[in-house]
Amino acid sequence: MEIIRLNNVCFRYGDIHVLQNINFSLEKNGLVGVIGPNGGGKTTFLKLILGLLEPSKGSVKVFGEPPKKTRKMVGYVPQYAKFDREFPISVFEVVMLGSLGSKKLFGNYSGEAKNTALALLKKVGMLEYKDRQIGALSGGQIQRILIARALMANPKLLVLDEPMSSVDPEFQKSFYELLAELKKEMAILLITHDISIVSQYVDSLVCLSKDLYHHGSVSEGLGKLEKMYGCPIEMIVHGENPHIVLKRHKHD
Amino acid sequence: MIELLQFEFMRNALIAACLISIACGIVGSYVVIRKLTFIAGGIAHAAFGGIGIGYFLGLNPLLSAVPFSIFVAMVIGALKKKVKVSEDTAIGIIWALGMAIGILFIYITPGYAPDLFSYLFGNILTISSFDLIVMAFLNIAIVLFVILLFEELKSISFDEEFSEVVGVRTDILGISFLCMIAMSVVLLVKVVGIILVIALLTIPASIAKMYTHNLKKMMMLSFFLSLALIFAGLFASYQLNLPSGATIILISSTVFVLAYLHKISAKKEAFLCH
Repeated sequence: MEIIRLNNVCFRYGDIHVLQNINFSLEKNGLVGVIGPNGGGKTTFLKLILGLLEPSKGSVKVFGEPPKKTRKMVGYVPQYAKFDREFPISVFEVVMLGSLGSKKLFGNYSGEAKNTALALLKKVGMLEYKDRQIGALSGGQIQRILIARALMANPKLLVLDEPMSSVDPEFQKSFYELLAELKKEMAILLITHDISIVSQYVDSLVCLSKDLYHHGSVSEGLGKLEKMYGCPIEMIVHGENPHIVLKRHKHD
Repeated sequence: MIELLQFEFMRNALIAACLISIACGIVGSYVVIRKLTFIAGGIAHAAFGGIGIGYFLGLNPLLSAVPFSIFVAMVIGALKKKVKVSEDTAIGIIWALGMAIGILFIYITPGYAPDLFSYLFGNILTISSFDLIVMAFLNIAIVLFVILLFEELKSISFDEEFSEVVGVRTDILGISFLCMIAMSVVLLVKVVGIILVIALLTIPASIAKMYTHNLKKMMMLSFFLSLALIFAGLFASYQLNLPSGATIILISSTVFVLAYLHKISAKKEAFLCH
């Protein structure tokens, strides 16, 4: 069964066209990177798949159904910067929130859910921090907690919105190793603006800037970046990782 | 202090202090962590419309304020979602509109509105037995709502978007949440008045938040703080012959500043130790 299908999807905020005529399908597990410039519609693309937004035109299907019907099969990792670091909640409590979808209304969490939360905290290497306040952790640690929360629902599709935006560089490698392990069991959609890092780890690349410029192999996708960003791009080697930079250019 | 209990108005005041402390502890904590102070202020001031309508219809103003405040809360909730007006503009308009409706209805009501001042600035000593019954029912509704939906409310307060993705009805809960604030506002109106409601809804919870990172503990601490602050304010106002609402808020604000300074000095000390 197709995991995601978007047919001629357009989306606009008022008069501003954010996405136009997007056709996209994802059929097998793996790590898919979604890249594009700021304001290119990456987050809108993600929100359409999550059912948080309705397309202005076209249709979105996740596991063959409208996204709102298949939310229990989808895990979501938002940008961690969105929430208040002073919020009075522990790491364990945050992870437990991931099982709200299966909790009975007016009921309590099951013992099984609690055991799953502990197992997931162990899996992401954060079990010893379970009683800490979430805001006391570093950016990378919070991302691991948010992944554990997303995995509570045992998803078949995991969607991450710019998870590297506030993560220390040394944490990135172990983070991608974790994603590499998870992608064996599920499809992962990784939204990012960090082209150079993501290109080393993803299995395929989606290049998005209002239009869908590319969906396929990483090498082909990188070749289309100049057109998408509208300026020259150069790959440089610095330390272990190749970096992709926008070359000096003038705007009209 | 014991001899004060022989007066019915004082007994009512103490019972009211206990009841509103429950609302301050629970709802105040949510208002603080969700940063809804301005919305709560808007609902509180707009509640004056309900009080004015109550005067006009010859009802207990507290009774008419309940549905009116809930209606206002639902309008704010709907505006947040549907209308392309910035949230602070919408709340500002509703804030002033509610006050205007209240003033108009009181103006066209024949005769004099004797305890109008107590709704604006509060007077815990004017709380009647009937007011206590209304307050008790509102409190029961608030406590039940929170006990039954504690995890869902915590989730939408922490991360609304994620909650929606996992299937929590954030739209219904969000509006229910505003209704809960509306009921708390009505509970507090007679004690500190609509103008000072915000202070009692935010100060104890803000102090509690400085000392705990657990929501349930924050609610409990906020409850005990509210109770202590209201009792202290009530006692001081009685001894010094001052208005009770204003005295409660002055004491609460002073305690907040002291707690804040204590927290800062504790942080500095911890930093120097490292």
